[in-house]
Amino acid sequence: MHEFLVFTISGLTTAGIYAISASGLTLTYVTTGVFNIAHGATGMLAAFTYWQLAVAWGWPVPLALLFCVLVAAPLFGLLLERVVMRRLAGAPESTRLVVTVAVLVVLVSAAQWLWDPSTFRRTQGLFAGRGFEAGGILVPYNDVVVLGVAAAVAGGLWLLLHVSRAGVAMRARVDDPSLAILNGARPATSARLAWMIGTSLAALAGILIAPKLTMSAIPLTLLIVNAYAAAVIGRLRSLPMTFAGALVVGLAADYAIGYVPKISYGQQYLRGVLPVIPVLVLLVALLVLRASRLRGKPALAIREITPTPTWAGTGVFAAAVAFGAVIAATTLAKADLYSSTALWGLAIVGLSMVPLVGYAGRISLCQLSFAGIGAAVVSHAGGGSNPAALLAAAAVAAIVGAVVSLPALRLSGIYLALLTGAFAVALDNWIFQLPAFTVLGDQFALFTNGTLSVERFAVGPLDTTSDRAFFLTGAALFLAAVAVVVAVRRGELGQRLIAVKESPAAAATLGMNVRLTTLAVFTLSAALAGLGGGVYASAVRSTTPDAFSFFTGLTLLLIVVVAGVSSIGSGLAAGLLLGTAAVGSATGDDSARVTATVVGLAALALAANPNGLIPSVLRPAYEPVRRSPAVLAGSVGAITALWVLTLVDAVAPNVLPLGVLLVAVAAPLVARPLAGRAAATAGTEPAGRDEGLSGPLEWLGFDAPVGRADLDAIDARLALDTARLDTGPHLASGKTVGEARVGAA
Amino acid sequence: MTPLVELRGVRARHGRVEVLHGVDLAVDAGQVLAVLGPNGAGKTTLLRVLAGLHPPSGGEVLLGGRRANGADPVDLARRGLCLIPEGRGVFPSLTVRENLWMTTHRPAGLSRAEVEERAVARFPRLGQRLRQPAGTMSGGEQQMLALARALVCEPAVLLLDELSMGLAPLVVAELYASVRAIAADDVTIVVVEQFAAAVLEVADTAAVLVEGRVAAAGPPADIAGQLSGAYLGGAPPADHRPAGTT
Repeated sequence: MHEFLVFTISGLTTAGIYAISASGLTLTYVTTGVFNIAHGATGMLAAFTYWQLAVAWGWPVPLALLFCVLVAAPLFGLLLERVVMRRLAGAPESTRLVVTVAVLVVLVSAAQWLWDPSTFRRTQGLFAGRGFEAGGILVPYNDVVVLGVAAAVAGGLWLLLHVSRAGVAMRARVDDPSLAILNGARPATSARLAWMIGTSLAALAGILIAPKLTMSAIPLTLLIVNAYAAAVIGRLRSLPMTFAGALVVGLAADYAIGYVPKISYGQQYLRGVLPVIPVLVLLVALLVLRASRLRGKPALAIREITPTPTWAGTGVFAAAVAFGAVIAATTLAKADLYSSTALWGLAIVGLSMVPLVGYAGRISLCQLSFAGIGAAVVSHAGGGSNPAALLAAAAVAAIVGAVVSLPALRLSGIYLALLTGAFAVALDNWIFQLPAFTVLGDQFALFTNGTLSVERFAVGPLDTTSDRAFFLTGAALFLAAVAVVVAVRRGELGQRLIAVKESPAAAATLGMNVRLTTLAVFTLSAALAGLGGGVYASAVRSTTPDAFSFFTGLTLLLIVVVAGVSSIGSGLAAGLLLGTAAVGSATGDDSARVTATVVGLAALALAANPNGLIPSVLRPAYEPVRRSPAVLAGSVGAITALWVLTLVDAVAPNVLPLGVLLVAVAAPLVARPLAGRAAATAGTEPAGRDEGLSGPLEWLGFDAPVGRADLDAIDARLALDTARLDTGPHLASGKTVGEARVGAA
Repeated sequence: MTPLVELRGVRARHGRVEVLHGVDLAVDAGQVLAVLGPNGAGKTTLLRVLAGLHPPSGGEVLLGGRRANGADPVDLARRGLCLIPEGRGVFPSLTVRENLWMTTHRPAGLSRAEVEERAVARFPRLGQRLRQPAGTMSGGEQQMLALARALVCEPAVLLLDELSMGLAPLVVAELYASVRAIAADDVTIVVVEQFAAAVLEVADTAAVLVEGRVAAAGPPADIAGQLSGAYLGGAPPADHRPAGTT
């Protein structure tokens, strides 16, 4: 009984902290429509700031606390609103989510930079752990104060949102910002207030929870993320329910700490479950709560474009990749080649996000976890150079992906992101750390002693044991995956995915099976990720669960989204940035952190341009090159010449990379004026014209009536002349829709 | 006498497309102006320009004789210019009571109790629904709430956009009866409608907007005769069919 009370008190304190954090999260969501994934990271940053002030610089505790919560945090909230969040108004939900993920990555990287992770740091609870005796139990003053503060926050927020006009105006702003203006409310003021209060609450929670751990950026961030479970139980709306949720999460976590170690059976498997208890609560909450309560807000406007890749364009891309791979494989130094083999596996994992996130618009935070599963499968099934291991990896990951997607089918937006994030954290912190276990007489060890060793496969004469052979095989596998993704996008599934993304309701009323479509894309994407994980593990030969951590997965997602999540090249960008020697040697030991920071900062710009860099910058820049045979041949020729010269040792090895860089920069500069001149002589514009149309689509009919040819071209683009509806009496004649339309006219 | 609301040669564009090509209109204090016209004529843009939500690209907007181009919509709202936008002008997730509270910033210094009292006096049905989220009410009730919220703060100018949209004719008649009552209290009203029959009964003057230009303006009875032509782009037919029935 005594023990139970002790755990109850500490559980209530944890619950109080989660409640403070979750209510801040809910407040910003309710009033600005932005679900701030970086809320936990903000709290983590505040905890570090507090440590710096109170411990390192010896400020008095109350001063440091008040400074952090009432001065630094609101200012930081203002900064966030000003620099990032303001530009998210009207952005699609997926963009809003990814941008807050970027904030998280930047904050975590910044904290690791400012406070060297290898130094041991710790903060103390308030009142230095003193307390009073009640019924034979020591109740720390700290806990009493935390509970009091939580109650005050609850009451204060309720009054703010339901009684004060500022609060009602904050809620009104979410419903309809321009109507709020018409009622004399200033939406910018509401948003600023919401971010200031939300950030303060995150900071308070971060500082209060920090004594439970040693100070370390990622665990501390994840600890505060636990509060998200409480916010989900509150359906991101109801503050009382959020507080109830916080009680469930806090008590569950502390009872588990108290009682799970007492279970006599299976201790080695259960130990890892303790830190993920709140994540399991989140999973259960997402599964149990009724779907209608969990529907995300629809995007106000679609600003993303998902152009259909052509086979010709894909061919050019594939040729460029193959050419680059051959050059790299034949000229890179041995060590560099080894450290670059990881490129292709990560590129395939990045590519796996294109159908799911890019085409279907579903944010998944667990693609790298599927890759981890693929890696484990290849390690276990790949003994004796078994080539089927990669297929097995894809198949197992596909099955897991399908199972994960079953509950995900009814979720979208933030709830889906949270579900996949929870799955990733659970896998990362618990499942991947499990010791060996026995199922049906066979022994499994996912990551034996924390490391996986993997044998590279061999098929007949093709032996991929050497780095060069594996590098080229990896490139071939990546291109095969590219072909699959392009075929999907060009086929019926791709069109269904876009339809489901842009209007699930319209897709459903057209008779599409939205759930089956979603299931298919989840499965496909998990299979690709599993394959990528297998290729990655084969490349590096020995890997640890860290390579598949939740945080690395976030960085990978960001790179893909920044590059352009609907473009097949974005996967390659992820591979190049995360898996090659180039980035590592350029930035030294901090490479992962540099990459994360740069990518995070770049992602912040997504609010302005949700399409990413490839479609908006790279493709327009290189389009003239593709259209100009002379420049194209010249570029390829120059690179080939340099390559040959390098192979025969006529030039120093580092001339080639510099030459490639020079050609890459110079080719668009040369090609653009050429393309402009060609267009001037032909009297037509090179771009902005749709195939078969007499002018840009949006200007048809402005200068001249829409002609027969234009109508036919539009019909062809919409596939109206081939679409055959097989239901309904008026179509019994077998006429196509195109004919029916012409007939009616 | 200076008109309370006046537009002189107002132009407005959406991106590259100009949608208002020099609109001249004037409403005296206490009058009701009905602006009619087919889809895409620029009616809603006209109201948004008046309310300060859309900056005009040319011409002048005068309120009470003073130039109001580019005025902050929040300031205009606080000075008694009230727009009920197209669709339902309510905050669906706020309760009816909280929707009404949104007006309590005004210098008039109304208390919340007074606001509720006035709203319920005008629309008794809202009294039973004060604690209900506005989004759960019927379309007509939502429009009543929007009207009520606009009225409790005693606006000088009320801009109504497509009050009838998506509502049953009976409900539309009921809403326009309220508009007539409001007009009787000397509120200047600019009302934009496609459902001409209902609004012409209420209006003091009417104007027909076609493709961003005022095609006709004058007493409602005269305008009613020209409507079909304006909507269909041809000569007015012999029978004076109200446009709402086409």
